[in-house]
Amino acid sequence: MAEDPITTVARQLRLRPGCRDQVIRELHSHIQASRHDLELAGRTPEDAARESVRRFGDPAEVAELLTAVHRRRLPRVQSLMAALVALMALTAWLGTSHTFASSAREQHHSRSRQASVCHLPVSQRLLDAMRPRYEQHERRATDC
Amino acid sequence: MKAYSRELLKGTADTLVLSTFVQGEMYGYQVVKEIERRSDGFFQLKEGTLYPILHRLEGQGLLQARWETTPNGLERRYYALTDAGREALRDRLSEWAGFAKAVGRVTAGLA
Repeated sequence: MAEDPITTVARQLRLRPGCRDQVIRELHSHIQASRHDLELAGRTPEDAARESVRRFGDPAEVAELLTAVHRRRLPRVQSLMAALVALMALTAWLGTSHTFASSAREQHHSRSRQASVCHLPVSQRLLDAMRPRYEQHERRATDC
Repeated sequence: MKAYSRELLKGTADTLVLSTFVQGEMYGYQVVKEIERRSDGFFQLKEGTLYPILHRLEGQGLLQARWETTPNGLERRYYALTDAGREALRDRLSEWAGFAKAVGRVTAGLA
């Protein structure tokens, strides 16, 4: 009996579990359809299984290509999120340093302290604004 | 398929795949068979390599997919062109026609 190429693909795919399962389901469905078609054309089940494996091609190559395709979908969003986190950290740090500077001077500089602390909600609002878009991409990456 | 044809196929695979969806939605195995049928057996893809193409086109928003379970319990993932996919296909076919015509003018009478 010919080895099921989907086993090889499943072993070599480097994707999130939800995405991986969906890809495997689809490839499994393909092999089933191929075997069924070959059997309808008069092949024995064993011959149909062997031929469907041959027609599928190199499972290692398929796994590599699929991994590359699905991994390429996320980096842009991840970079954007990393940039936003960096922005938040920067504004928080600026706020803190302003606060220290203000404390070291006089109490009457409290107005500038308040202004610097106001940076935080801005970056938070940016993050909140991006969240639906990020979650949409996350869902797509998980569901494929 | 000869080596030169394989090279040519690399540049046109996306267009061939998109073209198969003009009549309506299809699942992967049907796409392979449709390409074989329309090309009179000239294009015989290693079937597994179709899926990275389908998933990439889906990721680019040119195809959309949905799962369906057949009455006998088999699962199929159907793909269909999106509006962006139709537009991309129109652009590619127009570009291909211009390209093929230009190659034909250069090589006319040589083959």
